[in-house]
Amino acid sequence: MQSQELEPAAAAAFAAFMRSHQNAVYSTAARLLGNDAQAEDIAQEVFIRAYENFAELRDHPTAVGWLRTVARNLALNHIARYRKRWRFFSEYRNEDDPDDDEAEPEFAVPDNVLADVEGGDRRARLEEALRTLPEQQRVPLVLFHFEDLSYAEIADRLGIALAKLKTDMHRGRLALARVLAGVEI
Amino acid sequence: MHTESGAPRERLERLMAQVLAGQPPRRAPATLGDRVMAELARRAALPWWRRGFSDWPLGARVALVLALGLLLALVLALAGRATEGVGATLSADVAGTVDGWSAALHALGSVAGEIAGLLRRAVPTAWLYGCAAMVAALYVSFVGLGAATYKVLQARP
Repeated sequence: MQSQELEPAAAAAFAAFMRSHQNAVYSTAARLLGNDAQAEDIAQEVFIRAYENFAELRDHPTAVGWLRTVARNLALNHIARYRKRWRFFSEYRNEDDPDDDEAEPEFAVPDNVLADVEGGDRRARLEEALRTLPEQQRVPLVLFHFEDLSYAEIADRLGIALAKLKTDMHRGRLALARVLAGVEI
Repeated sequence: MHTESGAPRERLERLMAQVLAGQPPRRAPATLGDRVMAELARRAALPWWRRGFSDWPLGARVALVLALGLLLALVLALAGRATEGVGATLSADVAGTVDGWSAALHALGSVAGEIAGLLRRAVPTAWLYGCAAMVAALYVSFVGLGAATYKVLQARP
């Protein structure tokens, strides 16, 4: 581990490095956690670890990949540590919960769902909808669409059955599609 | 607006992949950089003994390892001296116990051998194989039953 003495030149170089990558790191943490304050804590820890490895990272072409992987792992560890009950409820169906029925939810996706999606308002609404999704839907969707993990990798990482994972993700996508179509969720 | 009744998963997956791929990264809070630099400065200002072991000066690390080695040697020496008198008595007791158990095991082995010989002479071989097969089948059944019970109970806690 590198000694954590803050020399002015190193500090300036590290600050520039951080400015270049902070949005990517923060995005990964914020989307996985759905909580901005926790995401900032995770991003801070990521950059402290980056500082400890700055000599290797500063000119490395895959530095952003390293940062995002650390952010992802820290965020998932945070979820596993503090919200173990999520996995329990995700893995086993609750027979009394009508929302947990295996039948496909009723919703017709409009063909023009992408119309006007370029608007900043739509992006903000989509981000907000993603944030408010249940954890068992949001986390796999983020890992699949933003972190480029496969279904099998996500199921393995989260320790849940592949079929259950696909059902959760489908429901999450339906909820997001409703937002895009302007339907209240 | 034309809508399609029902939403095939693949179509929805493609649509959402297209939409989410266009999402720009979230903007990090303006305070993040300052927070990180402040935390790094705080950690750098900590005295060496309050940092992780790997950040300690080399001399301090060597001294700690030597001190722990000496402490361990001292504890072992004191423990050896304290049990010096007890050791001889304990050894004799243990040896006696082992001899007793050995004799008992030998006797049990002899009895089991005689019973096995008696059975071989008195019971037809086919019966013995049948009994062995039945014991194996019962064993497998109980293991299967136990595994099924465990899965059911774990799935419905």
